Amino acid sequence: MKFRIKPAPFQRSTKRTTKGIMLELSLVLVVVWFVAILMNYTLMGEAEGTKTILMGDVALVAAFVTDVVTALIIKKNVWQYFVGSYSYVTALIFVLTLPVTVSYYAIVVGIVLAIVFGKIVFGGFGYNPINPAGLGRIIVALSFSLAITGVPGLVSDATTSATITSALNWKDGILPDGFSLGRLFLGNYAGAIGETSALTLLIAGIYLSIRKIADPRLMVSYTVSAFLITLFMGLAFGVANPFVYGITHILVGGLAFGAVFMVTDPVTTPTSPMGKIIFGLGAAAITILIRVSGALPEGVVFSIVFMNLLTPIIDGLVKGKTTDKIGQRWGVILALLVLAIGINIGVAFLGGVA
Amino acid sequence: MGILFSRGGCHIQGHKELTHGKKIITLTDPKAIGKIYIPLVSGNGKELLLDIKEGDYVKKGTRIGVSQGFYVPVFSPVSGFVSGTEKRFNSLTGRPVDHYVIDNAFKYETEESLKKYDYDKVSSEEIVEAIKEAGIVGLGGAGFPTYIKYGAKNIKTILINACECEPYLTTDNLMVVEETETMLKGISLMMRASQAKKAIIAFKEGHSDMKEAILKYIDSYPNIEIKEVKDRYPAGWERTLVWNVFKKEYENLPSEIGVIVNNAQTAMAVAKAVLEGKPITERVVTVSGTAIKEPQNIRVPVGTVVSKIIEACGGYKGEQVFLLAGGPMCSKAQMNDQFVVEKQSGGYTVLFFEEIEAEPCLRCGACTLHCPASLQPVEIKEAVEKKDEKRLQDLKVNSCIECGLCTFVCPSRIMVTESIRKAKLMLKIAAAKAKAAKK
Repeated sequence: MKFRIKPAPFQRSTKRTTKGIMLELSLVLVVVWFVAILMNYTLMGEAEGTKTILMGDVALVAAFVTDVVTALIIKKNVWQYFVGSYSYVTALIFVLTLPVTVSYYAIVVGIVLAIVFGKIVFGGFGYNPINPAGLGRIIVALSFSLAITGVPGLVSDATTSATITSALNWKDGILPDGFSLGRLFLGNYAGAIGETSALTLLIAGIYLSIRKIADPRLMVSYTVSAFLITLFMGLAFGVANPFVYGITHILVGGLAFGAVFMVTDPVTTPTSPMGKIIFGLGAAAITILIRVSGALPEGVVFSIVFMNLLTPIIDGLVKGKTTDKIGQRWGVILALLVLAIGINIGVAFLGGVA
Repeated sequence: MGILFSRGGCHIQGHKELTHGKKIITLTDPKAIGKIYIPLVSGNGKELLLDIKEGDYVKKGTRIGVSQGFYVPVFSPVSGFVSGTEKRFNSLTGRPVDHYVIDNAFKYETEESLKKYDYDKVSSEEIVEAIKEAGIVGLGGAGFPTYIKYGAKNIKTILINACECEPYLTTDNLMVVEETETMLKGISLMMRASQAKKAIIAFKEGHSDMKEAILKYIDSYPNIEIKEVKDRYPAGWERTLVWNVFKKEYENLPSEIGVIVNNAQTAMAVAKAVLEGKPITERVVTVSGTAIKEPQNIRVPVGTVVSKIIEACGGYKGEQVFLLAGGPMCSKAQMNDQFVVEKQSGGYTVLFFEEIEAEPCLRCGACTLHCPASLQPVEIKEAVEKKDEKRLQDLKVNSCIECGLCTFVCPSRIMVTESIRKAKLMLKIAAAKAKAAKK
């Protein structure tokens, strides 16, 4: 008889594994991709629909090849490395942030650089400080700007020649002709393939929260903060309907996609409930700052990657127990929200946007 | 669970069905029990002050010695000659210590060295004195001397813990059913000792056998109530239990809010000590797990060698096992089966050896959301990796009770609890160094 030694506990939950969580997450991403394919087929045409299919395939294959080459270089079992690197999740998130006009070349460069410089150089999955898909999206946005602007409009709306985020005037929030909140919610407009249907994303977000795959604190904090900041901005700017202005902000431009799939990446976001709420709030403040006062039409990915860099600092600020000083913690969150609203309004006025 | 905080806990599989439906068996065969060994060191690692020496004849109930630090007398569980002293592994201190060897004569001659009291007349002081002299300790596993708790003032409620939240263990449950009246009498005595007006027996919901057994007698005890709590581990941890029953928190001890918490079997031991003058000389232990042939509950003298109990349960399955002195969540794996039954031992779990491979930390925060002490285990783990002592101080590492839930829930199968043990050790070493530097 051999008595073996190991630290307690000896019973483990059999319900959840990291592999299971990542697999289920990617299934949800595939569903979103599928919805995007269907919408592009029916609303834009066969060419766009086929392109949407191929975009995902190209990204997945490029991610797989990157993993295989990496495994061969660092001399690991190729299959085990691929299964444990979760690059397929990165590939799916990355490709869903791109519009259908993107070149395959840009997709390949983006995903390879995202995996190499967003993940592998830091030691692989679990050690990356920033969202690799976000990094890939930024690389494509900065290096291939021609490839992703000039998005053709919908077939039924052929005159629109840009994405709604560049067509929309962020300071007054007036929607282009033919657009309504309902249309934005259902997703009948041009944009990145994964971002266009807020309804699909809402269902995905609820599903991921119930299954405890993504933390709703991050999603809700991000979207609610974005809504509150823009609601008060709308009031300050004197727009016709500040409420609609706020809703518009959270329905368009990938904010919902970012909320469900990018803000919630656990590796690159704080671990404590308090930290998660601060993270979402910070990301919302920066998103709106870039949108309204910045030079870029969109700020979701930039804001999330920027907040990723602050994650260790936010984690460090949350001390002791989660039950400590609850009142004080809510006070801090409220103060940060007021600060975020104040900065956004202040910069807009000082910058002459409003 | 709140938006910003969590009181933690989660339902875990109990595996209680392995032994719950079986009758308690008593080990009587002299060969099966063998010699009795009494550790000459108490749980705090200090040697006992001995009353008897090698070669003396002891009876069941003869005082062998008393512990240093907290006063806890130790009694012989059987009658026979003290034939010598032997070094054996000790599960409480985790190291080999001297044991008295008692050649069990199997006559069970009894020495009645303790006073007996009349149930109706015994006074508050007399009860506490009887508990102290009988060496009654917390039988839920902690082994804390019971009389210390009864020194507290302004006690309003006695809370009896029959939750037994460790998987596999069923002794508390079966004993509550078997010795319900003794327990209720013990509780009444505890109420008298502390001048508490009320007592609550708490157990996990779904245990209809305990509920029925208690309800049968409870009419004669108007101040005792029952309370079913949710089956969420660690339901039996003092703080979790007090929160679930009273929705109150305390700083160090539950007596701050007028509560004394005692295990159900401690109440039985109190009744036997006060009314019959009997110290704890035997113990019902659960022997269960996946790698034991016949899991069961078995009554043995305190000081029986665990290998003998394993034999009585048909022996081990398989060649490599984990032998745990207790349940699978908190107990240490033992290096051999030559240690002995202590009076606070609730059972032994034998599991097949398995190696679990960990994945990188996902930082999902599941450990933080499940920690019953509301700590942030993932942050503690990261601070340990960075050797950041300042951060470990900030994270209140020493509030951890090592319940094991952070490791249990981790989807990456990381041994988070072990990181927290390391963190505690790091802080201990740092404090010792700081102290040495001051001198």
